[in-house]
Amino acid sequence: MKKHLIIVFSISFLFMAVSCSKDFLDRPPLSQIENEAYWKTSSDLEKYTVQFYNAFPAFGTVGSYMGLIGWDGTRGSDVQISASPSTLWNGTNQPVTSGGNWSWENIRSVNVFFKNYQKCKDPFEKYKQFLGEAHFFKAWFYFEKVEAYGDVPWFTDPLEIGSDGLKKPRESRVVVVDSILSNLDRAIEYLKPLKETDGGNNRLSKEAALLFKSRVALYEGTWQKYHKNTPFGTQGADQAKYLRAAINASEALMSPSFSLSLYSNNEPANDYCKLFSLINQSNNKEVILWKAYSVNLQLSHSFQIYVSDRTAGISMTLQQVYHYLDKTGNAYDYYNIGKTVKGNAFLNKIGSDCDPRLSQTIWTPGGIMWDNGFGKGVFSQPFLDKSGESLNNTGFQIRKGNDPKDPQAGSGVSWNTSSQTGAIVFRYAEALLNYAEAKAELGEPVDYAKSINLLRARSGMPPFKIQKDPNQLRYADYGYPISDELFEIRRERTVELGAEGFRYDDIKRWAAHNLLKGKRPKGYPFNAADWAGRNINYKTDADGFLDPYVGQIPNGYGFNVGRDYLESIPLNEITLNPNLKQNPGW
Amino acid sequence: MKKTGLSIQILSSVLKVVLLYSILTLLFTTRSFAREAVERGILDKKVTLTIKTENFKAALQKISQVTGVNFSYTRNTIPEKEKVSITANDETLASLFSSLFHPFSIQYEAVGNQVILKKMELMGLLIQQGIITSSDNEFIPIKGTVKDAEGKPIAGVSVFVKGSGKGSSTNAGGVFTIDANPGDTLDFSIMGYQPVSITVRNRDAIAVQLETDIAGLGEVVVVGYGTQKKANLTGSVGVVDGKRLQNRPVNNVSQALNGTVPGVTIAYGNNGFEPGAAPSVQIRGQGSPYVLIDGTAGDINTLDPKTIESISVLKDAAASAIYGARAPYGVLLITTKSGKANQKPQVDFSINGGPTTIIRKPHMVDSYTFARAINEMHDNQGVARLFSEETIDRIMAHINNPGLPETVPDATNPTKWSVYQLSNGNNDWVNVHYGSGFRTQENVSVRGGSKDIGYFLSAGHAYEKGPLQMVDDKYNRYNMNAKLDANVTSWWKINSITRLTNEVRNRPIYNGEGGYGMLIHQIFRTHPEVYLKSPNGYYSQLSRVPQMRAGYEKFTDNNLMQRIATEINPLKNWSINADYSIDYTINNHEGLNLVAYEDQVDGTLAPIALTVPSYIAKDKANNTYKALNIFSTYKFDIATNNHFALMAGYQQESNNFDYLGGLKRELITPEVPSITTATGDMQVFDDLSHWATKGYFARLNYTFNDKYLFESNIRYDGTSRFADGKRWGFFPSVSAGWNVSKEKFWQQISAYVPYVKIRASWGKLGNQNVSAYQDLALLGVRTNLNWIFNGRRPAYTLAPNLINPTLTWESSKTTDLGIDLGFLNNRLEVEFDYYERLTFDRLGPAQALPRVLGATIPLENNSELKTRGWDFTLTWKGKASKDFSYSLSANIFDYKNIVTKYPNPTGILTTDYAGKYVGEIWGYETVGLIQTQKRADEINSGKYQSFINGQVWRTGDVEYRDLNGDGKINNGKNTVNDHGDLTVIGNSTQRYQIGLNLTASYKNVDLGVFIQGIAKRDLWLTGNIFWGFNQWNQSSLFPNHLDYYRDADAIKYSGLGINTNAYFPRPYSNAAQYAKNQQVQTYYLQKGAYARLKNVQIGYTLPQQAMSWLKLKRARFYFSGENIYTLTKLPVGFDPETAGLGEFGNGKSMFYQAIWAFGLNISL
Repeated sequence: MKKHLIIVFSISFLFMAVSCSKDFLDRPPLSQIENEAYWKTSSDLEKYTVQFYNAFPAFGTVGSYMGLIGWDGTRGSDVQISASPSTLWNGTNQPVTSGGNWSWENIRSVNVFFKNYQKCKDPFEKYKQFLGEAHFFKAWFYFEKVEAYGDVPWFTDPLEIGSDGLKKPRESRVVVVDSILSNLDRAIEYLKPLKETDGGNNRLSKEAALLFKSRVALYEGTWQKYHKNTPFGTQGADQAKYLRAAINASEALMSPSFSLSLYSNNEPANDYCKLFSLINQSNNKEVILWKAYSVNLQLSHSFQIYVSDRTAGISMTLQQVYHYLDKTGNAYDYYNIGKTVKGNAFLNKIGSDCDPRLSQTIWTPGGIMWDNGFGKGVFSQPFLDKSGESLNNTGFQIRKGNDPKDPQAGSGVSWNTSSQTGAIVFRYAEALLNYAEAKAELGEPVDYAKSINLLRARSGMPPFKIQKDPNQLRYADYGYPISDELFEIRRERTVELGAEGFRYDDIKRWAAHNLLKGKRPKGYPFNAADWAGRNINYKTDADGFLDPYVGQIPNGYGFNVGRDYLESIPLNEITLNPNLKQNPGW
Repeated sequence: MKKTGLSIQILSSVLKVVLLYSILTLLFTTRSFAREAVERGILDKKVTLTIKTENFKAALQKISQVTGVNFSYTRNTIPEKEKVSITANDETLASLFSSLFHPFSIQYEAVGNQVILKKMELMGLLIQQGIITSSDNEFIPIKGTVKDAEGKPIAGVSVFVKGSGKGSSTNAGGVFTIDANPGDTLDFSIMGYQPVSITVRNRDAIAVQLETDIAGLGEVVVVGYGTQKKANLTGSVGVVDGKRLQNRPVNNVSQALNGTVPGVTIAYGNNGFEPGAAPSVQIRGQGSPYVLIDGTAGDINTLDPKTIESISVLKDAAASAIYGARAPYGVLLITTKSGKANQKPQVDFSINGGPTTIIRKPHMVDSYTFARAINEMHDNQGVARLFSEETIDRIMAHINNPGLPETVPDATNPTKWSVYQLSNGNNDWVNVHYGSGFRTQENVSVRGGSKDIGYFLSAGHAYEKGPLQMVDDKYNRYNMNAKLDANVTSWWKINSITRLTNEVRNRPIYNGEGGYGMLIHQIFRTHPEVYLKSPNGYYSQLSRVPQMRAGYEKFTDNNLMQRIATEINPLKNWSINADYSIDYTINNHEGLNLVAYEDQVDGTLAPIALTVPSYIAKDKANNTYKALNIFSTYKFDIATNNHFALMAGYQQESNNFDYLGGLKRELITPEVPSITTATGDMQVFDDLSHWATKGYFARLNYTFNDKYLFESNIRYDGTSRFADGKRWGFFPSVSAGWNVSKEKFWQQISAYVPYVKIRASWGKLGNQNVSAYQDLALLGVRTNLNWIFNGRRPAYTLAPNLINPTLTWESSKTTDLGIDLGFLNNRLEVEFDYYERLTFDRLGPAQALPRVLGATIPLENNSELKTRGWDFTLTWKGKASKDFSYSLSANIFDYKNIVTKYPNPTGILTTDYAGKYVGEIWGYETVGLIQTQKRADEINSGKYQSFINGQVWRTGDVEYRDLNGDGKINNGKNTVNDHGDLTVIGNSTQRYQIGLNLTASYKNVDLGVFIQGIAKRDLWLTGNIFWGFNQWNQSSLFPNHLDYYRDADAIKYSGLGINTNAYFPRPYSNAAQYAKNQQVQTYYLQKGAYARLKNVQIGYTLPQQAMSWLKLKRARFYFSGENIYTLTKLPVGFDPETAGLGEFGNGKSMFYQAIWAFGLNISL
């Protein structure tokens, strides 16, 4: 009897166990958010748009450990180089099969914002800053695409599997740029001015959008002008429209309604270098957007190591140095002086004779590299005898941004990442240079007093003047004639924005391949006596200047003019979407 | 129905007689046997009766009452006082009489209804009876009985007189008679038992006891939700005896499992052979198996190998189908040891341990050689040399006088020591960091049982110290098991299993730079000239010693598993089983990151920046797994030989995972490392997830006369991982077996091939092991944006993923054909399986879409993979004598995976394509190193190789072969149809894997040898351990790397002298340049085949006299050597089992190690 009771009891218990839990297999996510539950508050929108701040160029996000300071070297240019010649300028790039810069994640992500933000229940005023940021980033990401590929498809909504947009052909670049500019107009409208932003100049502002607009417009205006009637120009493009837009945006920034000004402590010998070495830029009226670092917040970098006892393998070239005028504002005869004054003496001489920005951009003997817990490090001569991450192969070693007091300056070991030097994303000086260049390109009179002369004054240089440098073809043979005024404006841009990552884009928009094609970057006039007892493996050219690439590109850069201004569309993408047409020459 | 039953019965009777007849004619038989057979009649009568411990005479009376026979015998013929027990269930009288009378040497003879009993010892009597004639003078039959360990007689045992060809076999009562003489050796053998040899001493009846053979056919094999006799298996099941896993100085089960069962492979993780390394197990080349420990899912590597009784490896779909979607890639059923009721207590103690040493440890070249070689590399590149003449002079001085300091103050910063290429040490960093390690294992267990209770208790400990000698790198595991079996009533059993595991892994945290993998990477890329200790006596930062020692990383994994099971037998042959398990895992991780210091020239210590600030990170994860199984089995027969078994059941599992982790910076003091005692910034994270499954299953077994076997499994499975509507799947299987050797036509052959079974199976399985929520659009949430607003790094969100709402089961269909053979009295057993598995609806990347989509394309069920393979096992049981026995088992297996469907319409080679053999390596064919300038000029002017590199090609660079004759070396469109000069140059799949196990014992000495290997495998190795030269700061030169192309004379400060007939190409310091020579190509493809002496064991068991003196049951001590010899063609620095591993490149995992251990086993 007992046996039967137990058995019956057990079996019914087991049946209960089997049948009780109807929703047993429903297991919703516990620590993730579904899209439908999001986008309700302005805070939701903010948390979403801030993800894109990671996209700004900074230390560790672009180029070498030097960030923007070394970006022209890692991407390749005439004025800044790395240990090996750039494959782009050398014309040895191969069409890419997949990847390249053809990534669209960011653009999709921004479009997701536009698709969803109207679900927000908060009043418009509360979230318009974030809408402005979204417009800004859409412009930012599309501009990257235009720079790399020219014509690209334009997407308003996030694509889904099966969207027709997947087969979209490329849109003319002027249409895309117009859309970029209109997004920037919305951004200018919605973003708060700097004095009102939450986060100061760490946050996108009306000013930032204006500056970026002037950059994009100048890029497209000059691109269309100098690539006219080449496979890269757009038929019927209105270059003047873009130059005008660049002027308007720059002039807006130069107006008193924004209280922007150049950074200065009235120390022309230091101000320029110091501008790039500050840990805190938040009170700097020149800096429109910067990225802050903090060791305590575990966000820091190793830049100071690379502008002290290392180099990241990146060097400035003689072509850059040639651009600096002497202290009186006249062209300086580096070529002939270099035939007699060599090595350290040359560096010393140009350091004292020339535009103070020169010795604040490159090291000259006696410069204090560090003055901190590691003692005091003095630059005695360039690191020609080093290699890899410590190599300088031109004699012109980058100083820009060096902060001798930074605890990591001179630390010697590459992976220390506790530098906190702020990374400047946008600074006011660019607006002044964009203004001057766009004006000159349109043939309109430039107001130098409110633009370039401000930059000159900060560095203790006399005002801008138009002159003719007899040596100019040695370093700036653009391959086509330009006015002396425009030559001098480009000189100013090259000097002021030297080692900030602008050169690569400038060469492209100016169609200035002649600066590189068939040429090699050069270094300083080599003086064997400086290196007695040490084996320096360098060759010099006939004039005695270091010629670091002579072994690697004996015939100079082999840029493919009909092809290399734009990147190849990845071959796989053309296979997958036959409506995509390849760029010229590929 | 009735008629069928009857006819089968008749058929079986007929077959039985025929079978008996065949045996009798085939084998040498005695005439007494023949006579018994001929004079049957009454003896064929079937009876059913039970006699319980009655005395002999009473038993005879009872038999008379039941059967109607009359016994006649003379006095003293029967042992009147002996008590006997008899159970006959539909047995013939002959069989009953044999088992009753033969043990007492009573001869019986039936005349009509009369059965005459006689003593058998008298020759004369025999002759008089006409059983033998006087010419058969020398024939004196030897009699005996063969019983198993439990005293039950074994029928059908072959008995042979060694060296004479004379043979016999036992009858149903286990009795045999054979024509033999004192001094002869009799060999006894039967499937399922270990063969025994016994020497005949006199003419007394011989009592033989056979031990069951664990790998034999009589063995009961654990299968899903039940057991099955090996002889009746229809699926493909491999069995590993727990004994094979023990006494090996390896710390976990999967390491020991390698090579024991064909089809089973193991793979180490990226850290290689680190202490406590827990390799993953794979069955038949795909996925990971479902591991059940005593019926509950668990982790194979947390077990103490000593507690394992056996492991069943369910390989094909038929064997694993009962687990449906839980077991797409086979099952490991691990049974741990238990106690039995009425078993005398036995205490076992075992210990082993010994030092470990690195196998094939590489050495770095001296710093002078290194400096010259690296300078030559820079010369090749056309850039400044890395090492200045001044430094090389210092290096040479230091080598000549090692007493000189390894570095000098830095010229540019005299407060610091010169580092990297400016220092002048001479260190072989492999030697500096790698010494020897140590391993031990201890275990004590007690098993036994009283009347209704069996128990097993075990406690074990395993310890391993790794070979890293500058830092603590060790592993400890504590296991405690308790198993209790109780018969509550005669129809109700309960069972409880408790298993506790505590694993502690201590390893260097290598502050801030990355974990263990990074540490190994750093050791291998450190140049020999880097100084180990400064002249002040402090370790340098680049020696990595200060950072390694600044803190630690500690993983504490606790696992507690409790299982309660019950079995009720409401009726005979009907059982209802239920069990419930909770497996609770707590993973703790603690990372203490302290500030490390390096000295400056003046002796002050400066913090190493990367290690500032200090911080402590703590993570805790709780995982709770619950499983319920309910199943019921009913066995029944229809007519005599139709055995049926039905089983049906239900399983449900649920799992909850809860992770909480945080870190806090700036510890107040390193002495008290806790979150509370840190003052800095704090971060906290969590992660929660859960899943559940439900499954209904059933099985039908049918066997006819042990000859025809049939089995079918079905399972209906549901999982929470798929969307509602897609979550249930149905998984059936069928299998059949045919014991050919039981057919009468086989009798002619059975003397040579006594055992033949053919098996065939088919089944479908599913895979629910996919990540959950692939059907929901979820936003990514991240903390600590890489941007600071108002002094904070905010949290942020990311765009939701794209989803695929149609996602469902990945499934596979497997067909398996197998044959099991026994030869030479089943001493030689052979098993062969051929299988084909089609995995379909495989989850894979969807067909490529244009990247403008801007999101990861969700996975789809869209590809198919076919696996074809075979497993082969051969077991030889050597003839045993009292002093000597041996055995040999070998297995070999192979498989290939072929992609049969894949969404890759363009056939692009960057991903899978239909027709691809998994593991295939595409590369160029190598012509050789360019030897003449003329050839280099041709290549340059014709731009033959400019697709690979547009820059100048020089002598010593690689020349690739133009396979398609278009004058250019390229990869075409990089597709299957247009692959330019690429071709398949090899395959990385492990082919023809071999395991060889040999045991022998002589008197008290035993020997075991275990060899494991792979006959074919190609490996493409990359990085500095293979090439030596890499980027200047990623190079490590071993002596073999110096065989590189050189066409410049050696000078004091650069170059090693001309060597144009070199193996390695001309080295360059720049990535674009050296990469051109390192394209995947035939010349540098490596052979991954190997054979490894995995284990050699020599043991000595103390003799019986010593035992009784020591009051021990058994004591054995042994030496066990693990991995002591390896046959491989891989370059030094690479081990065939770990070559491809390493988080930071090939070969950068912990070295493989050998161990010589001493061990002791004692039983009380």
